[in-house]
Amino acid sequence: MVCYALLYGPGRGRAVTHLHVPDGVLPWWAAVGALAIAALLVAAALAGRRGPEGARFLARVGVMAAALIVAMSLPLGPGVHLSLAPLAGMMLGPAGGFLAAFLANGALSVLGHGGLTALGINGLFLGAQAAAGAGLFALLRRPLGVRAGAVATTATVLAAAAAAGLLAIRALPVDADHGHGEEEHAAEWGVWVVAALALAALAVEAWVTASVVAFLARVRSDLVHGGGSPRPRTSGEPA
Amino acid sequence: MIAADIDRMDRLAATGSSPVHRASPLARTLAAAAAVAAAVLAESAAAAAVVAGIVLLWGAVARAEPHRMVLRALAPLPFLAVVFLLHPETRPERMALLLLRALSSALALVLLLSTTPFVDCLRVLGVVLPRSLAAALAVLYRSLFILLRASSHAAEAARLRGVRAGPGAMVGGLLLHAFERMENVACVMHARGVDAPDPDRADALRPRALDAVPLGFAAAALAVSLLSRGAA
Repeated sequence: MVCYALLYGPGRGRAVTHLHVPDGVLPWWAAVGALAIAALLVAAALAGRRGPEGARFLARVGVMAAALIVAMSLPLGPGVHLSLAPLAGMMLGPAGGFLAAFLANGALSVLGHGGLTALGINGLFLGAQAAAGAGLFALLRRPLGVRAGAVATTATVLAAAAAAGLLAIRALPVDADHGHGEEEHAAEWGVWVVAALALAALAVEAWVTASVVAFLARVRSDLVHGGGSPRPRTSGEPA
Repeated sequence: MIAADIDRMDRLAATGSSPVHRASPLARTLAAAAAVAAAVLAESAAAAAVVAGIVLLWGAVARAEPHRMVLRALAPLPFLAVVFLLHPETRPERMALLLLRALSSALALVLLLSTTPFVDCLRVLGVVLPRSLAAALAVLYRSLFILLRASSHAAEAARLRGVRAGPGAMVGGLLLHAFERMENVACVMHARGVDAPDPDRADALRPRALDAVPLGFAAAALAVSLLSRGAA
């Protein structure tokens, strides 16, 4: 769930991609409720996407979702990898970013990560980061500039996501039959360990996202949401 | 590593000829869904372990490399490690149950993708998913191979030239490549018609004689799981 945690897969020497909620952890009502909300948001994001622009939007979303999965598989150091959800929002806008994050989660669930029944929670969590990234970047890019705006957006979004993730995991009824007692102190220690890992990964992700957004703003500004005008279409492309 | 995994699963799904591969895509997808339900509903670690065992046996019948299935299905471990770190009060048997539930469910989904080409899964899912979402998923899967190849080529080229490219140029270049390709994909989607019905969907939904194989394994897993709930 904390999408930028720094953990290695056991015994394979490969970076396991981002943490997301697997099957069998959530209570059924949370899984079903989150899936219903996510389905509504997906339907809203897809509404009215018809014609050539609809096809262009869907292709963008599909390719961006694939890029999210590829980025998650690129190790940047020992066990460190990216989630790029805020970047998806910065490039595609809130609706496209949300959809791309949701689809990336769906694809990951059949590629060995499980979490099919937790698709709603996983999609909402990553999708919210993308949507918040889009909104915050739109607000910050003018006063701070593209690079600083991207750093501030990514850091804010991921810090909020990390805090929300930690709180949510702590609130999970993991072992309802067993009361909390002397273990409270140990849990506090666990929170600090996870928070430190998340903070380190957050710094890497903010740096990478800012570099990517600055690069794209320089090379093809139309690929950054709210950026320059799109490049002229060639005659073979849809109008 | 993910590139090799996806490549291998895709090849297994496309070239396999086991009894499981010869069942209809609908039966394989329904069986995988039932196995996920069995994993999630298991109320004891023993039942979840039996469900995992049934899925592995099913994988062996499908010649889907069960040992590799296990390695691919270990991805949920980091999340559970964090959960147990934050919930030190969790009893060992509860930890075992959650681990085995996550493993069994991930195994079932890996098996589905190792026996059923993604396009067939989409044909089945297309019954319930909006066409536009299915189209975006199809683009995702196709783009995944293209991007993985492009990222591997870029990394290899940088290594051979002794270049230490920053993440902006590397990841940005990859995204640029992806989006330029997307422009072409959008043209093709527009020309073919995103909303056109899939002519091969009926074939994916047509029952076949060997449907009983995956559905039988799934029913056994579900029975074990439901019995464990009854016993609890």
